[in-house]
Amino acid sequence: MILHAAWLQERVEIFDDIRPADQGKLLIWAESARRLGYRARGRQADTPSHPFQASADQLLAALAPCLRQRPTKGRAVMFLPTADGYPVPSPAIIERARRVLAPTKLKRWTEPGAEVAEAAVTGDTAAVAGASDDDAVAAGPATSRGIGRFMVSGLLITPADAVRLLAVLPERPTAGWFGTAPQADTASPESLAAAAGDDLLFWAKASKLVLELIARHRFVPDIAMREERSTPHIASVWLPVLSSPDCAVRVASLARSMPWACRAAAAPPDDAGLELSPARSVLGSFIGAALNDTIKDALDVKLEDLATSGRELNHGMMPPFLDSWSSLMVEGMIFPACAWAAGLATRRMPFSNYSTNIARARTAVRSWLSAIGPTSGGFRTCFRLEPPPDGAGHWTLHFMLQAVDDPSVLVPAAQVWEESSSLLNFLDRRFENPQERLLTDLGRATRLFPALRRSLTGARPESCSLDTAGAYAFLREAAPLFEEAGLGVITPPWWDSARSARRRLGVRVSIQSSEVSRLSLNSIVEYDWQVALGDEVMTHEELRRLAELKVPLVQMRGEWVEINPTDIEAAIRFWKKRPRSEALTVREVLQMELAGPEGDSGAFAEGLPVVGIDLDARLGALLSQLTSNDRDRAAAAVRLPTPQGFVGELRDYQVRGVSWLWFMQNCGFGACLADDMGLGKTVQMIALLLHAREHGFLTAPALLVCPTSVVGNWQRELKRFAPDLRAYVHHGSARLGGDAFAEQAASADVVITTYSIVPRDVKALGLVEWGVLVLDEAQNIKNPGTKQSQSIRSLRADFRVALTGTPVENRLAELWSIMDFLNRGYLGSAEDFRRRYAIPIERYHNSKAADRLRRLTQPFIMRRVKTDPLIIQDLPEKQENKVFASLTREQVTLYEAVVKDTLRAIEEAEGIQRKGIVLAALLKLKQVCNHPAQFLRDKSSLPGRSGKLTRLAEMLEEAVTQGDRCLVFTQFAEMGALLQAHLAEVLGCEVAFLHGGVPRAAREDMIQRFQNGAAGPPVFVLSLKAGGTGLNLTRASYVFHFDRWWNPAVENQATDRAFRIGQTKNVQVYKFVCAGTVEERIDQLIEEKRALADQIVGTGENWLTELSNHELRDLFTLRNEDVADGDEV
Amino acid sequence: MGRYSEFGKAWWSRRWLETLEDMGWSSRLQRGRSYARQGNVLSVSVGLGTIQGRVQGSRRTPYRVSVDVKILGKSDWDKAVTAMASSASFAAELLAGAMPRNIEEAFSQCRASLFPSSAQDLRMACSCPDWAVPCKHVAAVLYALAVEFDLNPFLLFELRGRTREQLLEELREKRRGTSAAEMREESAVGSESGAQMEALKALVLASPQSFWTGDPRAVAAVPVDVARSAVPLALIERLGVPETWPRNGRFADGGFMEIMRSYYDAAAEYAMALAYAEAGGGCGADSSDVDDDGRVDYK
Repeated sequence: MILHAAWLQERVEIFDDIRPADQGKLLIWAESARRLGYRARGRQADTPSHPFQASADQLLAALAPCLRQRPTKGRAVMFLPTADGYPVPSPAIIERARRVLAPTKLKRWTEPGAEVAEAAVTGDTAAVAGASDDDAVAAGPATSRGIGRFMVSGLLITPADAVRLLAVLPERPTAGWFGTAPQADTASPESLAAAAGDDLLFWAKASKLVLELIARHRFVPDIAMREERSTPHIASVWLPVLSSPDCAVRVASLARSMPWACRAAAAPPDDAGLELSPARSVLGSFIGAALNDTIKDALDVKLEDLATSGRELNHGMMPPFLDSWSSLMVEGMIFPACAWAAGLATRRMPFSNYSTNIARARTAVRSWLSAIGPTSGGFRTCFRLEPPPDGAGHWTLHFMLQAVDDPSVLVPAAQVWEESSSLLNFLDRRFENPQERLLTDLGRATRLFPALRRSLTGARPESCSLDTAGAYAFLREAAPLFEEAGLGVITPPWWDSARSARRRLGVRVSIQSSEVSRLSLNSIVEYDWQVALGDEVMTHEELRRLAELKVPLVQMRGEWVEINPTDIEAAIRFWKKRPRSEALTVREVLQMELAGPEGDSGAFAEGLPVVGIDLDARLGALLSQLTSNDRDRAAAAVRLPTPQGFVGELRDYQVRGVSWLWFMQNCGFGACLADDMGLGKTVQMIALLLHAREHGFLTAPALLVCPTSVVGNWQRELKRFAPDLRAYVHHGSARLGGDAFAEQAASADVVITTYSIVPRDVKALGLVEWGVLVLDEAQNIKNPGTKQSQSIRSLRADFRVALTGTPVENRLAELWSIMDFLNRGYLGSAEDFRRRYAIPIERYHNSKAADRLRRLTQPFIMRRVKTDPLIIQDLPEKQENKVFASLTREQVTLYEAVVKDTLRAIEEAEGIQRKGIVLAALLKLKQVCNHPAQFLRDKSSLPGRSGKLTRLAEMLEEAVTQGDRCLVFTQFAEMGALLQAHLAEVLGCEVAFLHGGVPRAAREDMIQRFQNGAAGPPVFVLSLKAGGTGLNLTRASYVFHFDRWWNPAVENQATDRAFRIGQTKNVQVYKFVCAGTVEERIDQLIEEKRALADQIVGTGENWLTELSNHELRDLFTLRNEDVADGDEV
Repeated sequence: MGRYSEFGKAWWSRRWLETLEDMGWSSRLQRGRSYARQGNVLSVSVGLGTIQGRVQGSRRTPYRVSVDVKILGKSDWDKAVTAMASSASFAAELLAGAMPRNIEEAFSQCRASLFPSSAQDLRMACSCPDWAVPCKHVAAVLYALAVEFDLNPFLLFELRGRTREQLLEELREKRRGTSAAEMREESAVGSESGAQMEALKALVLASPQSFWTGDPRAVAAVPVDVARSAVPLALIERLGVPETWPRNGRFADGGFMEIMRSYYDAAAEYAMALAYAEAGGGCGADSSDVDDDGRVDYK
């Protein structure tokens, strides 16, 4: 189901001129995919129920665990867009419905025509009727659009609960965020249970803004009318202050982008006159209610906690907060202001009980609050400071009016005075009573900056002139006060930059690395420092002279620069101390340089900022090479020749990749190679190992950790590309332990092991000091708390490499884990990272944090994508690869049983009967290799039981994340069905399945959507028979053959579905083979006898039956070194 | 109305009381002051040239007090307003909630005074049996009035014959040299809800899908940075202690700021805790047991 949320504003009557409080509830409701298309039977009320909504109970199941209080069920009337009187489903629910409903049921909303059809608005109800337009009806297709009223049922959530529920949502929650338990290490099957609609996400964003306002103290106490159980009363409330420009701009932008679904609703008592408020006021109402409610919650909670537990902790004494609050209540009996203040901490106490003169209290609060100006929207007075035009003489402070939500709209005071009406129109904006606004603000500004008073003696003041000291006083002291008071300030551009670290008086650090022989992150370098103003180095004498000048603003090279007296003092103090070489590591230098002024370089000495870093040639070159992009890196890094022992060709970009890895190894920096799938990370890694060995860098063996499903693949790739490298697989139940292992490892060049073995054998693996430690599919260590990650981290190695095909930079938990594996401590602790980067970026979309993180990590990650033109020219149009997967323990048992039965049977059979047995055995073995569930036909669960399936899911996930579309061929229709269901769940996306039983129309629809649909299925499973010929599926850039048809011609024909005229991308073809099984043996046969293949293989698999018993035994028997450990994969 | 330790903090309120004291009623005013301090003034209100008040005396029914203040003539006002309009500082300070210090300069133009200049300017009456004028009830009301002046300096103009709105309107006219009669204001455009309905209809015709989506990219692009304020309590510091905050009792000195600090800190702490709460998704049942409609399957 898709969750929706609409704000139900509760209107409070105005009493005695007191502002009504913002009040309301958020109605959370949901569309249900399964019910799409339902029509209610029987007579309908005036306002019919929404026909395909989920029930409140279903919602409760999904949401109750996230809420503090059990929410009440509730209803609301909504205006919804309709087509032929039926509500138009949200785009999200249509996507969802594709997975559970037949295409024919969805046709009405998914046909291209349905989206573009233009028709008359024929309102379902009187509320909107009357808009019908005869011309449009005549011209348009059958569909007629309108607006209808529907009764929607859901859960009513208090504003504070809404914030608690929604503010923690990621920017784009993944499927399964709601109603599911967090899954630890495993790739959890993503739930189909509930997902958020854009309207819910909108309120999530608003909730986050509310938390920001509270954390930043952007609110004030106020007094307002509230209504509780239809009884109005006057209460102490908290009021958000949205008038600062950054806030106003964001609120305006949110209001403009608000989905109608957020606001086209009203609670039933109001439904008779369902009124639509402008988005702005709906948003304002939510922010006001949520802010007040959340703060009251915070304080109420505190009072409650203190009342219950506080006494015991404090030995029977009242804790201070509660004590002072109770006294406040008592004082409130005498002083209304105290009653008002006490009421601010709780939502239980109506202020009206305590005060006898409401109107007076209201006036008092209002006049008190007037000092901060209007709390939301509108316009305000803005002051713009201009330096003297010729560098000497007087500065001018201009007065103007400014639109709060668009600070670029400025009306000069002269124009304000000329306006003769009480309404000024400027750039399509209305300024009401502009002169009074200007005058009021000038009056308030004068109190904060008395120098203004002189300029107000005239009738129509437009500006104020100031001397340099006055201008500095304005910039330094008044401007911040003005901003706090809600007045606008525009300072000269140099002022802001002067205040950033690099334009201030500070320290320049110069760093020498000559003493260090081999640089690594932990190398300690020497540094020297100088006091500098921006780029200008200052001598002690100059500094003293500046201090004597006592002018805060000086012109240097035609630019104004602030010389802050405290900075000068700090610089002189710093000079006197002459601190010398404390340790500075290369890591710290890197962080200073990369994170920029907002990073960690802040206070270096005596509170002086670091305004610049000078690196010696060596460090400079290192840094520029580290931070350059891929293209420059290619130019900068020495291009390595292909290693001698390498069998095969490296493509150009692969040479660049190997060279970069080599450079990183030489620097002692851990490196992450994150190329797209199919670009050959494995080959690059193998080439690097060879190169390292040839240059004497691989004195100790390399340890390669990978998922079980790719052990066989690595083994075979090593054998193929680097037959000289001695590889040893440490895996399976018969693996060596302790010293025996260490001995064996010492005689190998590469030791291959798996993620599940490391934590078990961490002692044995720890005996060896590894030359290189490689993590393949490094996203496996994304959960830093697990034993697996910790044990891998604990291994000692000279050089660490992570290989991954997923875009790590977008998955922050993974990124931290991988970076911390590569370069321990570089991104700080996990908790630190979560607070500084992960949550600000994922939850709050903080672009500054994202930039900083990118700068910090970019030097250590090389990622090339297939679509890069530089890469494309290097790639062949069609690339064939084999994927060797391992069998699971269960598969091995089944496989061996089949082989045993078969071999016994053929001993006793002959002729046609023997032929039958062989073909049947072949079929069974293929089924076992595919999946035990296919062989057993028992509808048992799928995950973790087939090496092939696990690997396929991993590879598809990478491809789908990259935004590519994929074809998966299988020769078994029943396997196709299993694949479709399983992949849709694991990948959380739509998976289409074409087999012989699909009717023609549905088949056309599938193909059409795969090829052209913007939201078409990214994965398309086809049975080889139904989809092997005739189709045009050029949208695919990946083709997977899940099982093999021992006729290359048939396979190629299928592959060519994607590789036809019209294909513009490079196509990657992956053929899955179970290592050690008959599949691999036949694959070898075909490879070896390629030339004869056509003759031997003919048109089918009959040639197999011609083999002798001995040959068959050889063909079928499992080679045990490839057997997996069974309880994993 | 509560009790007050001191009447009139603002200079214009003190000036009002000084003016009264200069009229030779010191001793009576003293009694009125302690009367007001005890909280006997139940209400006080100001109209054009008049003050009305209710004071609890020794009898059960409160006494009614009324004071009429001499209203200035139209030409006097005209001169005063002209003088005020000639310098923006008058209007600026008034609008910002303070009586300009040089306000009497403007009134000297018409040889009048904003503050009553003699006892003849005031006509006082009270329903009490006391023969003295002013009685202590009148005096108490005049004292209580000083507090109202603190909050709203425009009341002084009202006593002299101009409401806030009238005064501002006349100032505006003087500034631009036109009169209100010449102005026409645009009337509000239709009903707000009606306009919204029109907008919704237009949207449904153009693209019904966007009813559900709005502009999700723009929403996502709005940055939010939940972090503690660099300047804690900036707004409260700016506002200062409210005029009506008690000046004696437990919370007199710094009590307001102390309470606000505890509130703001607790609220910010709570917001930070919520904002950075661990929430790796999921809040309930295991996903594999929940089908599309959220039905939990307890096998």
